[in-house]
Amino acid sequence: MDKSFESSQTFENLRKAFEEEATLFFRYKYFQVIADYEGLDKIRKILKDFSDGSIDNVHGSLDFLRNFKDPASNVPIGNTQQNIKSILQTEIEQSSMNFPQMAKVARDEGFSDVASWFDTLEKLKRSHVATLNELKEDK
Amino acid sequence: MSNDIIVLTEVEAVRTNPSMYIGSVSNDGVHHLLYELIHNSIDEAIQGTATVIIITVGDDFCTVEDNGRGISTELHEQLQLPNLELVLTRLHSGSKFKKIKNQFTTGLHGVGLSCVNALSSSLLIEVGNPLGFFTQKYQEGIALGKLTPLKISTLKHSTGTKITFYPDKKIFKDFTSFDLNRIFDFAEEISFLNPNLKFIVNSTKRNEIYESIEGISGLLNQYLQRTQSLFAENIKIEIKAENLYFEGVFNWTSENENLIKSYVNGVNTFLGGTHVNAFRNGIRKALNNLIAEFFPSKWEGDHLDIEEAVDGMFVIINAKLLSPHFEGQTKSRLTNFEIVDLVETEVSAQLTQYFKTHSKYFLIVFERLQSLRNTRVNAKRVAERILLQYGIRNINEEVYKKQFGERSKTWHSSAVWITDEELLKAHAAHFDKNDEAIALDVCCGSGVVGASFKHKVKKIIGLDLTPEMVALSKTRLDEVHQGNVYNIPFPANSFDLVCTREVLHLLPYPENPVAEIFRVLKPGGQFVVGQILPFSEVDGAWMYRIFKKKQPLIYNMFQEEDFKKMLLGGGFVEMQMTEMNVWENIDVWINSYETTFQHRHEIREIYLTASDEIKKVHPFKILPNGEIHDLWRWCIFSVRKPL
Repeated sequence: MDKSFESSQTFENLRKAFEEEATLFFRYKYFQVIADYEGLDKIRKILKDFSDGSIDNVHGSLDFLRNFKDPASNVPIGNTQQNIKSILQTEIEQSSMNFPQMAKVARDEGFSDVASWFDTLEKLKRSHVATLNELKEDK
Repeated sequence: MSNDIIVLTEVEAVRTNPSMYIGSVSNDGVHHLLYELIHNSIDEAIQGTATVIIITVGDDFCTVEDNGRGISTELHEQLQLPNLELVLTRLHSGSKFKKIKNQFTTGLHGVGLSCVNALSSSLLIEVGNPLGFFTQKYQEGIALGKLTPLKISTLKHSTGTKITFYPDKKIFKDFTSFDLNRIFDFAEEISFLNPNLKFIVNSTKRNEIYESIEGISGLLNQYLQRTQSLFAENIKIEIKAENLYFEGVFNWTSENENLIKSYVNGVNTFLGGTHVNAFRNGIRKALNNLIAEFFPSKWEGDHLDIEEAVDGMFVIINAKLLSPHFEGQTKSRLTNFEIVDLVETEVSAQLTQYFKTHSKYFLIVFERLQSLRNTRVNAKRVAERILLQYGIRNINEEVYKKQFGERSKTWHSSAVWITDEELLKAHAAHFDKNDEAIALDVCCGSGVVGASFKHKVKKIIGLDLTPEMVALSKTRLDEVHQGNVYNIPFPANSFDLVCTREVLHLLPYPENPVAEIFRVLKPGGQFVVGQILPFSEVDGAWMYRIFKKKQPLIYNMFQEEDFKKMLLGGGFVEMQMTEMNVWENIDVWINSYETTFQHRHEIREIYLTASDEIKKVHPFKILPNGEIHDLWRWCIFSVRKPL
């Protein structure tokens, strides 16, 4: 694979496959609880098997992408210290910009409870930032 | 020599990684050791040889004795060791000597005596069998000397097995003593699953004998004592197949919840699984068919869903399988799919047959289902109206009135915190006695918060939106008005104290009611407000999911920082805060009008699947019977309006 891989449609498709499968994993997880409530053990088991399987599907796309770009941070997946920095960047963006802004929009639009939900996520992300900062070697 | 090496390896394997064998090294693990011994003795009873099990509980040891055949002490031909020693030192070796074929043995872990032995600092065994009486002592799973014949035995009967073990505190680091209540409860429960087997439980503090003649119907009757059952007799369903024995005993009650206790091979499967779901689906199928056959014109809307079908039912399920399979770490959920079709079909067929011969009983159930359907339709309408509240900065009063009007009927029993005396005192402690003070309890509910200030003020007035709550609180407060906290019906500067508790999270844009409270306080007046807050930044989102599913009217999961900002931002000063943690019984809390059956299920799932990240900061307990108890962090704030 040469450099043009990063600008190819295939690369973009891998990123898309990663995102869609990752989303699917959590949909399967969510639907399992509903099947469980409805007492449908066999269906629940299939949903569970599929969600377990989709982890490989998600990671399979990531295997191709890892040496080029992490789909979220746009830097290659590296060793743990590099990965901490990469994921820290996402957590900082979420806690300092994304969730506060989302909370504000929700409040402005009249969805007070959704705003509070974003507030709790902002705080959770902030705690993640603090922990990840502790794990960084070059503090 | 080579045999010794194997023995050491197995014992060490258990001691090195005990959680793999017994689930955990917490107190649950300690009790599992005891249960393992008890289940071994029950197996002797299943064989028809034991009739009595004697359990003696000391502080840091337990003894289990039965009058079964006594573990064999014959020499194992291949291994040249007494069978007894093999059972105590080789994993999974017990069944080789039990000679149980096509019998449903009890117990869950099947790890055998060797595990109990390996995890005990000291273990003493005494057996009486056709060869005589024998004893042997072990330390950390290793024999201290050979099996020794005894001339005089301490056994209560001529044959049997008696084991005394001391859980090793090097492994069970938190272990201090056995939980007496838990052991007595366990023995009582298991006695119902093993009719005609006597359990004698002794300790220095309490002695009991448990013996059931009627089996699980007796256990059901015990649960039914606390409620009103609809039928004079319990209904029983029984299935006997090659690999499965299934019995379900049940009755309908006047409760608006169900209670399903299930067991597989004598072990409590508190998370249910295929046996429970197949039973529930069988009930649903039977009821839907019977409704279609007998009352097609009287039933409107969809078929019964699974929770509707079993609503108000109290059920005990006792299943026995030759090879049960379980899911998850707690191993409390059965996953044997091969039993589903048989159980579902049989339950449906047997219940249909029962109601066809007891048509009066079916009429009672049908009327109950009709009334439940109406209530659920109403509750759904209320939930839908909550959505209408979106996008407005005030509240839709009718939504709150409807919900809290309904809840007022059982308000004080709907959660532990509502009447917790210490919690109420912690609120009142913020206010210094002032005989001239006029106080307002905002969204006063039943008035318990305001009443806790009563001896400290001249007059306490209540305000609530809901007519039923106004009527309820009038018995506690000096006067009560009906009104809205977004527009408090009193002039500015009216009160020396305003108090409220666990209210602001229910209100969209809570800064607006806070501003109203500020307005009606006199300069220097005090606002005392109690609120459940997350323990840290980590558990807020997790708690919000739970609380929002419990109560769709929740609009805020405040974080301490945000709550303080809101109060100070509203102009208040001199903030003080006290904290108090209160255990809440989640099963009671979610058994509420506004919490749908599906949400109740999902809330339990959220607790069961909580991550370690959450568990580190937020204490909660899942009891052996499946009950969930959550620790809530109450923060009680006091602020003042500036002079």
